[in-house]
Amino acid sequence: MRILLIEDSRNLLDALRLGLTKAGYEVNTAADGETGLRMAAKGGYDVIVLDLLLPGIPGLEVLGRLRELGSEVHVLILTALDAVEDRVKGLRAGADDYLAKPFSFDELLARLQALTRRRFGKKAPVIRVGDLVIDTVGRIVTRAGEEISLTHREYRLLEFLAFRGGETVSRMEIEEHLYGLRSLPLSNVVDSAICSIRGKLKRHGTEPLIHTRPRLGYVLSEHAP
Amino acid sequence: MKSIRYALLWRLGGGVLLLLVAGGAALYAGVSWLLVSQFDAGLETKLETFASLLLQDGDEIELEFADASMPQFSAEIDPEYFQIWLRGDGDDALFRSRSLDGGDLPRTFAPSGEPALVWDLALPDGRSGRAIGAEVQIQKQEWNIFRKKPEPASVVIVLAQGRGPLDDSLSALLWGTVAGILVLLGASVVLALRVVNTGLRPLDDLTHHAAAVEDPLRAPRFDAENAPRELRPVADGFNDLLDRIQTAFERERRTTANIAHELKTPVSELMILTDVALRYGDGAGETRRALEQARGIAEQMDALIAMLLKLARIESGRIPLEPEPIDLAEMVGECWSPLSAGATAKGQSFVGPKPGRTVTADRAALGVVLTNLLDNAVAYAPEKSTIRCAIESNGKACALVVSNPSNGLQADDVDKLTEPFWRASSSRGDRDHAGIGLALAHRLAELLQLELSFAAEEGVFSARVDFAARHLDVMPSTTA
Repeated sequence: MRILLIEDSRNLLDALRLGLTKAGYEVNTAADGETGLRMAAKGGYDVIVLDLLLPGIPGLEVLGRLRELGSEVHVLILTALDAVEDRVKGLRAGADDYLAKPFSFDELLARLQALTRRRFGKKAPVIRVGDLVIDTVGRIVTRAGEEISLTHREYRLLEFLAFRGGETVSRMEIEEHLYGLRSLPLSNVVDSAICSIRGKLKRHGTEPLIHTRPRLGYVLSEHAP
Repeated sequence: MKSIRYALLWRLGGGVLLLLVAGGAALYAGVSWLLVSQFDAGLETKLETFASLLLQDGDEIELEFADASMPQFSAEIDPEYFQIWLRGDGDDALFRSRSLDGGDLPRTFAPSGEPALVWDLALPDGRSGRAIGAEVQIQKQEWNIFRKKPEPASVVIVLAQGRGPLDDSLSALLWGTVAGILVLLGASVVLALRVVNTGLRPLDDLTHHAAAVEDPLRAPRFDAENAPRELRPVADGFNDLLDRIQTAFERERRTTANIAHELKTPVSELMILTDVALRYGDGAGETRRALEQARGIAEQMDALIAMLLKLARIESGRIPLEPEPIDLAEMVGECWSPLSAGATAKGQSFVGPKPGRTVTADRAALGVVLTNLLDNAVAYAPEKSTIRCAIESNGKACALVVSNPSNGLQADDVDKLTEPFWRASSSRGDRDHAGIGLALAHRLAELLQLELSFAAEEGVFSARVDFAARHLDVMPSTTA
């Protein structure tokens, strides 16, 4: 899951980058409106966290220009402007959510998770695939009632496959989602992560859930495609 | 509480009452004089009638009078009276009316040749009456060729009659006048009320308009164009006051929003820093780094609060000022010195003022003003640009001008420069400057009675400090 943070407060930017990275997100940052717009326009982000009072191009203008470019990326406005008219203006300009400063990290995380679910058309925070249960809020994965220990990257890969709900997901999409465009890894890194997840899932159930579609990608499903 | 309406009503009512009473009294006096004159004229006519009825035949004097011709002198009810004496012949009457029944009227009269004497008296039957008395010469004499014409005799005639009808008329006149006064007074009060209310309606409208103002920011302005001439200055003053309040409110609101933003950002930083450290901090190094960052943020907040307190202290006017002669160019040099390293780091150059101009001001306060202006120039002028400081002088006054390339500052932004914590869009994210320096400089300049103005024209931002003639002389020590 890739997030772009556009925020002029250096301290806040650093703390959020650290926290969101620890939470398993791929985070890019911009400290002014112009840089933020340039990065956002390139695409590839699941959510953009946008401050309004920015040096250079103001946040609302960044949002407006993004929408003019046809970007459908989810935007969460994060700002000190907390008046009702500011919220209304932000949401009407095309934002998907609005969070006023000061805020708690837990709330920001929950809102980002909700936006992520919305991106994939999911409303329930818990995704079930056969006897596999993925709690996207607690980031807990269980199979047949037994908790499975996954690394951050493994969890994000499994969650991505689960969000796509039975669709075939290409290696390219997984690479872009997990590593971002700037840090494209070797293609066998995806295969190796899939292999590792399969191994952990197999310990708690016999039926395979991640299926390989040759030259196409992978599918997370109870039944083989 | 004083009331224009009541004062006008009282004065109008009092004036009208006074006029009505005076008018009524004059009317009553005039009409009653007329009535009495008419009454007296009637008595005089009767007296002349009696005089014409007298006939002198030798020594005999006859009265050609018959009761039937003037029955009022023999009436049983409310009779009239007459009595005639020969002049100078004692109290024996020649004739008297039957109504006197042998009694006498007072023998009071005006001498011959003078107007008849008229007076009030009590009639023999007890009624109040009015009498007329005069000495007249008998006009008709009987004589022939055998008797020579006698000398005309003088007689005294006194007539009296009840004044009941006259008193009734006077009484009716009196009460009619009083009633008229009361009716007119009532009508005048009603009219005065209408006139006063109509006259004061524009004032009432203004009062209601002012009373209805709950939110000066959204209050409609009073229609001064259509207000009466007398109220137009008040209406204009009221509208100007609303404008000033609105400007002050908006300025205050912007300042509050700016302060809130300045405080919310470090609070957010602290919260997120501690949240992340608590949630993911898995080593002493990370915790220490978070704590160090938290301390840095707390120091920024402390500096912010210190600036706010300083601003409040300046605005309260409790800064002691000790004016002294200051070499302006020398002071600019002192203020620039600690800033020069920062300017050099940005590749900025500085052109200072020419020496020679001395002003009188508080050294510390003027130093803060100049330092903030120069610091602002260093902070917001583009890299590798030139900052200029010049002294303009015309002998009676002088000005110090700090100018630099404006770095995107718009002309519309100039008015907001002295609002605490206001930031131009291009300077957001700059945590080294709280956005209060120019506000401090502005307040201090006001205390020093200097005029500090800003301009952003043709890509150049300039701050100008005007020193008036009084700053060119030595000022006594004061406390603002």
